[in-house]
Amino acid sequence: MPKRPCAIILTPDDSTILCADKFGDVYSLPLVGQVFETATFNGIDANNTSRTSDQKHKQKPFAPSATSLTVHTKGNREALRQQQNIRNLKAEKKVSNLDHKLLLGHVSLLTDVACVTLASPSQKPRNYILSSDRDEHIRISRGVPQAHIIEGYCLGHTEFITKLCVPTVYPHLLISGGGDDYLILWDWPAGRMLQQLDLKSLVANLRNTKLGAGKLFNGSAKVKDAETEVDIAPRICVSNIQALEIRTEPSGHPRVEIIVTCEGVPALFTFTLGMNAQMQFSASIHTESNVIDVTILPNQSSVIYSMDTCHQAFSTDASADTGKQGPRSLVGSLIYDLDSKTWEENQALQANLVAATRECADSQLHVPQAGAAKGKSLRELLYGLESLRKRGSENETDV
Amino acid sequence: MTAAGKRQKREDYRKTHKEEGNAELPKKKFYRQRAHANPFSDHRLTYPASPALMDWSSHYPAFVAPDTQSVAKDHAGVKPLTKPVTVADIGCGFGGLLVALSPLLPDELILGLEIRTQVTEYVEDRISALRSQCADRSPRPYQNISCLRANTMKFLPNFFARGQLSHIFLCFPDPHFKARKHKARIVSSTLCAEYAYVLRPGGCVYTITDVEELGEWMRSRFEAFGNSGVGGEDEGGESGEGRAEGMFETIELPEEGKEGEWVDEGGQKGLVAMLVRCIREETEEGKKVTRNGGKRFVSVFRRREDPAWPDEI
Repeated sequence: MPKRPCAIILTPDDSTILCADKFGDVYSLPLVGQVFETATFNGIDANNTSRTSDQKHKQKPFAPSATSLTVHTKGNREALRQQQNIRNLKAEKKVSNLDHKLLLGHVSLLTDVACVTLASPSQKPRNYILSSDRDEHIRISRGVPQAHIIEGYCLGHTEFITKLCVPTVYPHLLISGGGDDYLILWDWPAGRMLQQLDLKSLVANLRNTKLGAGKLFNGSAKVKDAETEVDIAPRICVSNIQALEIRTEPSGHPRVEIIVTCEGVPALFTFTLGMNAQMQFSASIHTESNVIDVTILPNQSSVIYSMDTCHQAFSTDASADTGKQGPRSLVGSLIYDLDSKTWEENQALQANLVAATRECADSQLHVPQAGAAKGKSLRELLYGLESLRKRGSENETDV
Repeated sequence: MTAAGKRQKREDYRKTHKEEGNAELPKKKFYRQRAHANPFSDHRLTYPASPALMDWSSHYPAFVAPDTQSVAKDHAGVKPLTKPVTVADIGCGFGGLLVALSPLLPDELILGLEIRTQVTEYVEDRISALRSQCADRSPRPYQNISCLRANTMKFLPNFFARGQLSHIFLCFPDPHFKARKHKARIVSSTLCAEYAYVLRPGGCVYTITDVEELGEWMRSRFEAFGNSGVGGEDEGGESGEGRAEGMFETIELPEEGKEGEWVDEGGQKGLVAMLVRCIREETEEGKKVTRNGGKRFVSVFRRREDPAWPDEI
């Protein structure tokens, strides 16, 4: 790929990879089989065009595109004089034989991309591509092959966006989060904001009850409802949003549990999304250590989350005090209980996971904290999303 | 003079200029800024989260809707205008085109967008000076033009809704000669998508440059846009022949110096000719090119209707 990929998804027909990169471009690639063939796309022979343009590069000697008649500053005119003295400067060009096609682009770092299929007036489904960037935009584009047409934007975030989540059973709804203090629930085909859901107070509450009460970590996961007053909380940075469909609702309407994780927060926040397109906070589930990432097991109504045992809970820079407490587990698992409608520890899965990770951990000797430099790089590795925040420091040398 | 002394002098000048009821036109030498800005850096920009939240009232005070109950105030204190902004001059520089367009398009609200702070400030001061110079005339001129600082490559959809604009001007953009810098050009295959989004079908993009290679670049990007995905790779970009038509059609233009005949014919053709004459002759860079005896490369593209969805064909 030309630039570092930031998000990769498959199109609904499972045939094409969509890859969003650091430079703001979304490319499509065939999933299998066609990489070395001469694929045609919209009547254009992909490899052929690159070859002809390559030949042209060879034939054409370098010539500056500016002329002496171009309006220039003194410095530019000097540069032009130098350029004109250079004879055959040729740009070395690497031609990738990967068959990738540029679909769309933002002038920003892309953070997530989603591909959604909706029913249309003609009863044939329509595909859309949703892409989010560091500059607060969520763009709604048509699907391939019309990805160049922008259908709209979902505008309302004031900080970078890190994650888009479209629940399968409610494909017209979108939950987005990132550096803002809240999640946003959108009616994305209309570009309309439906709801803002506060995360900052949830994190602050949890922090107050956990750190304020003095008991730092208490083993297994504990279900806690939001309570007590809000304190100054650090910045929120959503690291993942997952939707788990809960099927057994007597009314027949599917219910969706939304699980949200934030960088440097030892908790999973769960929300319930009902058929009236209303999202409601249900619980903050406190975990032993900061949650790094979370994934869902749709068939088992379960989630698995990974944790950071190197840092203290609620902190992304303070190293964990390994002497004080026993070993902390790297992973955890929860299962949704249909009767009580709450999340509980998935003990069977948890035991397996813990055994598996212990095996891994045992094979490597315990690595002592190796100085500040290593700690810093580890922090960047685990909590890279916060660095997307704009610092607002700009050197405007104007003269 | 030292750099610090120079800066002090600028600040003093601008302060007194603002105090003196600013009927006098500002002097450019106090607002100079290097000609390039990095469109990828964050800058310290202010922009609305969405077009609905943009308060235009300070920009076009003469067009603020009278405060009646019928005006729904659903957007937190944003005073609505009687009509939307429909013309954008992207990279308006020192505002020569804005001032020239004001009487030519008296019924449209025209906005200049410029990324350089100092230059934006100059245009703001220039417009307010022009407004107060002719405050006694009726109807008051220059009320329909304004300028703000923005990075349009990133934030164009924050200011304008879908299909809001009738004319977009891209006049003498930074050529970014190095191939490595081509991504920073104001016209690229992917940015064409945003221009198409904010333009209404039938609306036009006007481009002018004195760099022939850049002129060709812009033309090939607009002509290829929508022909093959986004318009081929940035290296390719050959105009599509015999393929499905793209989102933009190139409009036939009058020769330089013959615009008058077209203008007399009137209609859509006359309007385009009038605006083309305007960008050839009234932009600050256009005047410089005339003085240098250089060439100008103009292209105008009309936005077509959105193609049908694949399921509708």
